[in-house]
Amino acid sequence: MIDISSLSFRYNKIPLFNQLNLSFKPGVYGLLGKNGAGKSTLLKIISGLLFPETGKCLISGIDSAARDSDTLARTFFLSEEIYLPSVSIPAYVKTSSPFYPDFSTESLYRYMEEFDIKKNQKISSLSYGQRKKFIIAFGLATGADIILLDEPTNGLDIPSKTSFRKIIESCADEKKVIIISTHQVRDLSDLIDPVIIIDNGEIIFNYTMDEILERLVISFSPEKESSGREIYSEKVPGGWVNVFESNGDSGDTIDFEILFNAVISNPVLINRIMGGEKAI
Amino acid sequence: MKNKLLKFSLERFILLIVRDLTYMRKSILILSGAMAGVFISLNIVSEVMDSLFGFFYFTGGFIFTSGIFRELHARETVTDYLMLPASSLEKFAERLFIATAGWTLYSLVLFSASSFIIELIKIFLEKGSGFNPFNPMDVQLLKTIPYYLVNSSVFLLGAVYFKKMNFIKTILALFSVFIFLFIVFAAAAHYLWQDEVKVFFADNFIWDSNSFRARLFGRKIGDTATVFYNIIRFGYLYLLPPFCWITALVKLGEAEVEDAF
Repeated sequence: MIDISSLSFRYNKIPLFNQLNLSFKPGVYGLLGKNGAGKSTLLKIISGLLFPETGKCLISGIDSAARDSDTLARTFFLSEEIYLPSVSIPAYVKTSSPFYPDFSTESLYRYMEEFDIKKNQKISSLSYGQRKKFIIAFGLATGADIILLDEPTNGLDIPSKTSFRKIIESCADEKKVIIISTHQVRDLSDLIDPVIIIDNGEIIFNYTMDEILERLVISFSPEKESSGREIYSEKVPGGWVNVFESNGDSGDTIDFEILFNAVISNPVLINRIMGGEKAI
Repeated sequence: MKNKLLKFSLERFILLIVRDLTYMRKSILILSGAMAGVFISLNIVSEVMDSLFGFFYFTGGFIFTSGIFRELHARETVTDYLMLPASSLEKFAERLFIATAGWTLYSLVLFSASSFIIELIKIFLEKGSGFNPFNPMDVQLLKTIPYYLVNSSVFLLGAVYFKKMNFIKTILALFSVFIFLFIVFAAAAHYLWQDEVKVFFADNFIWDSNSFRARLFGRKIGDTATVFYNIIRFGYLYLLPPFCWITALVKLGEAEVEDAF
């Protein structure tokens, strides 16, 4: 659905992506990376807000840089910088929804109810978190099948994060590509699959949850592991968390923060254990 | 340009107009109220409605046009604007329509309404001679509209091209172009009509456009100067607007979010 091929991009002459190849099929992708790794830039390139220097990003065969109106109508991008005009919610919905042929007012009001946002408020009276929730609700109600969310849970309170997870779960289907770029990995731990980790403009990890759980085990021990089997160890309150190669038993959950730190600390080893040349 | 430029839907064009008018409604009301107040106050003191119109229509229109793409240059709004499902042509055509036909209609309606109120007040105060409201269909007034359309095209280009202080930067750019053209034409005139220019400026020269043209055209260089004048006039009226519009459209298609940073 989204195909990125031989893509290079520079920010002020500083290379970020160099011959990047990546594809997204329907699913809820977690895009993780350190600050400045290129997560937001990648989302902006996919949405057509930034143009690659070389290479292409195709959405169902159409170059995203063309900003084709039909492609835009099926793409929702939640930026870190959110903007809403100073009008009432009904006025905003009335003037913006006709641009989206698959817009569902019913879904919008259902999501708004889930987020606890009243229908007839003025947008200017909403707090930052409420605005963000409204724009997420509106974006998901557009019926877009490319949903790009840049730090969606930043600024949301705890109940709203729960609501967000529920809404995304209810939206995710076999037609939608949902890419969530986040630092708040624990907020979305049960939601994202596959996991993509990006570092210095390179994809250093790109695996499904099944693949991760099959090949890696994260365990807690009160003492530092010294068997030499550990791939990565991290001190936590009360002991140590270690990442091992699985000996055949699949786990059922994974701590994304530990996984992320393990991948960043030794991407080559992790990828060798994961079995491939899939990333790097 | 990577955009599908020729994609145009009348429905989306209208949706864009409705969207913009909805968002601008409060600003339009505030501006209208303020301007009507100023016009009424000034006109009760003296009859300046007709001369005020030209100033408001042209200067106000250029300032308005200069800011018509401000969403493109602000970090918080650029994403929303570029992600709006409409082609660059539709977005450009809509802003062009608002800046030209929209502003013209707005100015005429505002002046007609203000003038109507002024005349009623004058009757009430028993001041003035009869009921003579501003006539939006006045032929002389309507003749100025094409000149507004031509000149506003430059400010529309400035609105897309410059990131900040678009109006001032467009004026400065125009000055630079004029100075450049003046130097080019002065050099050409000096080369072509060296002797005639000397005679012309030596002969009790007074700066008056009518006498200048009359005297210039009456002389030996008149025919060539007329050809130059017609070429410049043709370029100004018929080449400048499409050049500015197409360049602005191309720039809009090339806009990226980083342009706002």
